[in-house]
Amino acid sequence: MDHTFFAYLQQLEILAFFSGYAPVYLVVQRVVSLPGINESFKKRVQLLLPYTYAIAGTLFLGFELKNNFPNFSIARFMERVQDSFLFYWSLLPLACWVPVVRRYPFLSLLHSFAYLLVMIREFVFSGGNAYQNNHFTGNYMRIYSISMLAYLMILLVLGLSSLFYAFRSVKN
Amino acid sequence: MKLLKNHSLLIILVLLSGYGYIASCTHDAVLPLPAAASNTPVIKHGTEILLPKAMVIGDTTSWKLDKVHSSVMWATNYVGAAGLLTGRFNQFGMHEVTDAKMINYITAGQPLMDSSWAFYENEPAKSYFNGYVQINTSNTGEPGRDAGCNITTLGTVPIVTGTQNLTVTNLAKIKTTDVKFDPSSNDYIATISLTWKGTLAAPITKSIVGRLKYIPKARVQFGTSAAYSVFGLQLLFQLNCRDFGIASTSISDKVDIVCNMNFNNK
Repeated sequence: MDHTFFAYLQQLEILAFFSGYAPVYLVVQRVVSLPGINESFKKRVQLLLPYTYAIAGTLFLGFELKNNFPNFSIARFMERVQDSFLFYWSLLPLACWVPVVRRYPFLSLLHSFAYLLVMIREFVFSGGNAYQNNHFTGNYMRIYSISMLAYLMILLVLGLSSLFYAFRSVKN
Repeated sequence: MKLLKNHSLLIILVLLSGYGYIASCTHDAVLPLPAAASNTPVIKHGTEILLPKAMVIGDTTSWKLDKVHSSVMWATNYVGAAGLLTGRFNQFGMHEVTDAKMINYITAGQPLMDSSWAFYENEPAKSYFNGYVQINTSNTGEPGRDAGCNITTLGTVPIVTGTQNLTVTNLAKIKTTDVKFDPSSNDYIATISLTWKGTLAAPITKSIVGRLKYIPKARVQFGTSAAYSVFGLQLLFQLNCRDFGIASTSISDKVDIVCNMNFNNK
């Protein structure tokens, strides 16, 4: 990453959108694997996980587009990209809308590990004194927590919508 | 993906996240906050005793009012609502004008000695002040108003050139009845009696509380002239002009008065 203030801000934005997915994914997988959990419920929840990732990817794209309006142009959009690899990597979750990709939820998990690696890299190579590092780490952890909460909320909304849809289908 | 099924990833992630949270919660290196600033005002009163005595020229222990560099100013809201309407009194002094002295004086200068005051910096109970203004010398910078409607509005009479009018219709005077330290600043709280006839049939006396500031004594010298000392007193108070029968709606009920008195020992 180019260590400028704007690059740092964009990195924080990206982490806010995606860093919380991996822990939510793993915890949900763990919970639905507990004995006594209905198999169809487990499958349904597992299917929802890539959807949450796709929604996060869509929201990220929307956020980036919003930042370029008014006077949107491709050139300006490209100018705003500070860390090309991380940015384009963050557009890949949109692929989760494709049914073939969605069939393999672990792909979304593998994809989201990149963000955890970015955070670990920042912890290890951030430099600065202990006081700065504490605040630096604290800030990343806050974003990480918010991201996890956001994913849980998306999952909850999706779960309830799915239940409602299933209920209506059965009723009909 | 056996790796995913055995939950080792979850454990690694929990450990990493735990480390992150603990590291960010450490307060070892938090800088200590500076001590809070004190809210107690620093109050320091000197020991100056400043008196007019006989006001003999050249007596450096005698303090004279420097009227040329002093002022008595007033301010009130125009029509009681808009911005400030301001003015000053051109003729004023620091003498206790008793009934016997309330007459016309044929002079261009000060009609009475400015000697009815005493200031004890560290013993306010001993301090006292008397002062007066000639109401018809109110100067707002608009001659038409000052010599016109102001005269009737304030219940006085026009200026007669060469005459200092200290008669009852044209005199407002103050006299301190109590001076004490202000516990929250270096200033003094002065209780004053303000006597003025205004448009009433007879003068009325109102007790008013004001703030007295002492501008400390300093020694000055200009060019080759002999050095001398100066000090200042500022009295601020507010009066209700309706108490004195002033009915004009051009001015607010409340009128702020600022007396800036400069003294020297030349």
